[in-house]
Amino acid sequence: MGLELLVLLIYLVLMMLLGIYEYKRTKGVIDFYLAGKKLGVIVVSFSFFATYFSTAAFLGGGGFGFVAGFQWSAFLIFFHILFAIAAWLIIAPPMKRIADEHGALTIPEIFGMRFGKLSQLVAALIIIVFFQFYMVSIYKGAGNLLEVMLGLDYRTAVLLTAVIVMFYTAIGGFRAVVMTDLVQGILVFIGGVMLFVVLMFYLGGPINAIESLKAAHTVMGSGTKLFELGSVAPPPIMKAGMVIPFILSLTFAISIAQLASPQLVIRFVAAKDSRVIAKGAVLTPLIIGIFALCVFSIGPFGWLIIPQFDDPVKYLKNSDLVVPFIAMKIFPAGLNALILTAIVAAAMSTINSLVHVIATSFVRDVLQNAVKLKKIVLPTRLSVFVFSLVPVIFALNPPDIIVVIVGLSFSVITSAFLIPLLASFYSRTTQLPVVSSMIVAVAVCIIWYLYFYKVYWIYPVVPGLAASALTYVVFLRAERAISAAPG
Amino acid sequence: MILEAVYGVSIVMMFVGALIAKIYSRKLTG
Repeated sequence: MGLELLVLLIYLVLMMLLGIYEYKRTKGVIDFYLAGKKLGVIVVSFSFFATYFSTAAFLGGGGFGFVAGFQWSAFLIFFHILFAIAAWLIIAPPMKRIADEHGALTIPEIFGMRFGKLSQLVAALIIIVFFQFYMVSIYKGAGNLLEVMLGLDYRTAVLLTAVIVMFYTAIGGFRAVVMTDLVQGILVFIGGVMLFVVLMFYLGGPINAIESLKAAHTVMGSGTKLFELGSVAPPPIMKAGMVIPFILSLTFAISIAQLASPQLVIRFVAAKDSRVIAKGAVLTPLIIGIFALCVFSIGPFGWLIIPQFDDPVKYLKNSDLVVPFIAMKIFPAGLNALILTAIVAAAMSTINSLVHVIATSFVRDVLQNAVKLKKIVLPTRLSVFVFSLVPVIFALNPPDIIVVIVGLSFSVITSAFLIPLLASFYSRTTQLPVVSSMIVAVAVCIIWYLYFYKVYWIYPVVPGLAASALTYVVFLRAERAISAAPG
Repeated sequence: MILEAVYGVSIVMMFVGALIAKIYSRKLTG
């Protein structure tokens, strides 16, 4: 454990030093908000990758295949690659152009300039509220991981993560966010690929591993079920007969976030120019694809390792434990430390981006519209401080209602932002359809999650997006019909 | 069989996507 802790501490000190270095290079608002809009392709690509993949990618994405087999792995990989390509080919080029034309600093500000102030305010409020809850889940993931793997006290682990992220984000702004993302992204990528490669060596090569897995006996029955569509899933979903809709909707929901998450889209705005976007469109889907192929395929192979050492039922109930357990068993101590640090890096690279987006939206899109501020860097730094710590309170002692909101926060953001982002490329859009689509997306996600999700097992992003798109079209047409009517 | 196909399509799509981005890079920068 000593070596793991030492490597982790070195990593944490490095992140703080990077924050101090970038603080000295931060000269004004554009630097603090968008890293001077001078980011090159390597930084933008790895920052996009590191921000998108949080601890959930390693623990949830990698581990759930233990419960749901290769149907989970295959569709999660498929949708990740599909939407990574779509994000860089469809969203990135026009987003960069529009943001440069308007001189916007945040995604809600783009909405404000394209559609009107109300859309800016609504978008900012959705970001502030739901990203705060999203952060709770990532703090919890990091805290649990450090508690299980290093034996740290859960509270200490959450506070340690929060304070370090807060420190370098508050002082170094977006420069610190993307430069730490670069280090974290490389670490996460190497850690994920290495974990899969070592696992394959440990199991005697991929062909041997697959044959052994087919011959294995699992708690659910034959190992061949792991290779079939619709054969295995958690008991309530099996009982409802909704395995395929559940797998397809959840893998779709997780992956499509790449198209619409403000913390990702803002990286397109911060790119140096459109040539960076064009190169990123080649590089980023390859990084995401290779990582997804490796990490998301790990879970099912847990059946060849976990039953040798422990009761697999425990891991069926909490599949987040699968990847850390495999890493602990197959790696020697030094490499083990690297994997642990990679998983912590995955958490921190997502938290820093979320808190930066929240703080910039709060100051630029809410506060500055209410009170005319001459300088916004200091208020944004203070906001980073506050918004980093608020989710810690909930992560340390989450009440039941918070658990529900955290569960759907990811869905709400994707559902609420995809249609307005696409609409911002369309010159004839007005404010009413955009604002309506965002509000309906939030409402449908919440209602679906509370009353229908555990009946139909279709993830809220699907109905949320459908309702958002439908609302947008209906309001757009109605508005046109009214304006075209005589008199 | 279906899952093998999904895996195969994903890998092909990853490289075809990169190729399309490379071919259309001039249009993207325009």
